[in-house]
This record gives sequence, structure tokens and C-alpha cells, in this order.
Amino acid sequence: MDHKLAEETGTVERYLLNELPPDQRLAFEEHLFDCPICGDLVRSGAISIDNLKEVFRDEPDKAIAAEAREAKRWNWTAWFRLPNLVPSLAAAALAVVLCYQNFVYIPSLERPEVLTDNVIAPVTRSEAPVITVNRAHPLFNLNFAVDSPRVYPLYTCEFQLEGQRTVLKMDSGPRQFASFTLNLLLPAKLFPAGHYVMIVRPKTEPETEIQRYEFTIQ
Amino acid sequence: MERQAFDQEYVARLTRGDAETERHFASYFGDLLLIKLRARIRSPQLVEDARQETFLRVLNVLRNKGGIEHPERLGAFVNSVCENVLCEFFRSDSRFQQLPENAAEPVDEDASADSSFVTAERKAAVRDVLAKLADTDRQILHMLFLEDRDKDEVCQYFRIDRDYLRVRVHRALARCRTAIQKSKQPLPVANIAGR
Repeated sequence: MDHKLAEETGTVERYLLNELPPDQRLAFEEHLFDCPICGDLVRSGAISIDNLKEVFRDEPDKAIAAEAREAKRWNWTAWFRLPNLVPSLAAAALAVVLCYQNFVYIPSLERPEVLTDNVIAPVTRSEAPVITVNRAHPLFNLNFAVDSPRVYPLYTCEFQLEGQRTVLKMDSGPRQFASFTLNLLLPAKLFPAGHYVMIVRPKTEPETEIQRYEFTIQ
Repeated sequence: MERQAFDQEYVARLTRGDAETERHFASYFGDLLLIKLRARIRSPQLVEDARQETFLRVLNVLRNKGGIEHPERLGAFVNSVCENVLCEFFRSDSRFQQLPENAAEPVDEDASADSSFVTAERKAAVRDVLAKLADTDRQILHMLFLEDRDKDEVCQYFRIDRDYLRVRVHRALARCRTAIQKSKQPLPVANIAGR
């Protein structure tokens, strides 16, 4: 073994760490005793290791403290590993939902409220009424004046956001008369601001349009 | 330690018993022999016996048996004498338990405690280095050198490979070497028996 090879292969550290196989160890020792550079590196390395051992022995508390800090750091980062992260995030999301339900949604439902008595008439030439929805409340009410050519036992109400999609389809509940006021309590989150059309159809004849209403929500 | 060339002149001075050369010889090769022997022999007393026996035989050849043919290979000669001494130690008595070549390094609790390498100044220098090292590096050194943990286990613990472990040890040792060198602690002088 020559010095260049020993340097390139990190043989000094491997020798100090007892990592060399027997044949390489013998070859390196033969070189080591003749090479002042490797000799100095091995000597100073061994001196460093012996003193390191002694310092660790003298200060076990510090060493243990370092280990504990390391363990603490590891535990903290372990939360971000996938097996821990998924249930943790799920639990956090569940906690957020529960908090929202308990402190925002349910109290707003339990709060007494006066419903509006404004009634929306079927489409006329006049301008569509503008309804202001309080977004702090989960529900808002709309009243529609329905005048059917004949009485049907049940009607469907279809709400469409103009030019887009059906946002809600619901039954009117059983009706005894052809003319009535349909009072609805609607979820605010389904009705973003925009221009809406509500179509009333008999439940039994979905192709028949009885009346159409237009209104704007803001 | 002052670096000296191992040449005909050096060997001649050693042969005629020049005190300064003897001191250098004992110090330089004493350390290397100690490092080599303690990896192979468990008992510090037997390590010292083998070291003294090596010195004795080398000086005996130089002074009483006509010297060595290649003075520039003095180091290799010392090493080969030490190998012979080791073989004889292993063979001579069942008291000496030779370690198999592939055996794990024995845990010798007192190896460094008795080491002439350890001094208060060097410990202080090493302590300073440790204080500036990252926690991970300090823990690697602790696991390797004090707890004598298996290196693969250490690699697994820190999720690094063996090459990178060696690099980290190399860096830490380099810092220790520099700090110790700056502490200007004179290197130990080994005694030569039989003078």
C-alpha cells in the first residue's frame, strides 16, 4: 500500500474504526510504520479518540442530555412522517368540524328569528326582487305565491342559478289547494350571490311547468 | 513531535545510544505500537509487555546483531518485529486469547483511562470541539467510541450509510486533531526497557 492509495481510500479512519479486513490491516500497518504522514494521522486520531472517550466518561450527564435532546428532536419530527401525519390531520380536521358545529352552526339554528313575509310572485315583466341573505345564518327563508291550474297533491321546486346549474331540488310537501303560499327555509351555503330561477312542477308530471319565479340573491 | 527521517544516520544514532534519538524512537514507534497492539490484545499489561519486547528486539538487532540492511525501512522492520512478538505471544501461552480475525473489537473499559494519550489539556481541547459540534455528530461519536455500538446500528439509527458515517467521524476527528495540536500538549514519551 502506498500513501496516495491510503489517502484516497480513507484508510486512516477505517483503521482507527477497526474497519479494515485483516489483509488490508496488515498492509496498512506495514505502510504506516514507514510513512510519517500516515503515522502522524493515526497517532493524532488515536489521541483524539482516547480523549473523546474520557470526556464522554467524565461527563455522562451532558452526553445523556445531548442524547435526550436528540431523541426529543426525533420525536418532534416523527409527527411529520406519513403514518403519524394522516391520523393526526384527521383528528385535527374532526376537531375543527366539531368546534364549528358546536360553536357556530348549532347556536345559529337555535337562535329565535322572525321570518320575512315578502312573497315572490311568478315571473312578470317587472324587475326580479332582490333578496339579501344574512350569511352568518345557515338558513334563510323565501316565500312563493303558487297558483296552479289545478290541484296536485305534491309539487317539486327546482332552483337554478341562472345560466348554470340546478342548485337545489325539493318537494313542496302535501298540498290541499291549487293556490297557496310556499314558505321555504333554504340553506344559505347553497345559494351564492346571483340571479336565480325557481320552477314549480307537479311531482307526478315532471315535464309540466306550473310556474316560474325569478329573484336575485345578494 | 518533530518529524525525523528514518535514514542511515538516524539508525546509526539509535545504535550508538544517542539519548535524543532514543527518545524520539520510543515516542514515535511507542505510540504506533500501542495503537497496533491494543487492537489485538485485550490486557493493557500484555500490550505493554509486547511493546517493550518489540523495542528490546529491535535494539538488540541494531546493537548486537549487525543492524538492518535497509535503514530507510526502519518502520517496516519495527512492525515486522512486533508481528513476530504478537505471534509468539498468541502461541506461547493459553493465557493469551488471540482474537479471531473477524471478531468484533473488544470492549475495554479502561483502555483509554490508562492511556498516556489522555491529558487534561487535550481533554479540554476535545471538550471545546464537542461543545461546537452538532448534536448528531456528538451523539455519533458517543455511540461509536463510548457505547461501542455496532456501526451498522449507528448508521440505521441516523439513516446514513457507512461512507457518510466515516466522513462525519473524519470531520470530527480532524477538528479534534487541530484543537489538540493548538493546545501544544507535548506527546508522551515511552520508556524503552532493557537500556
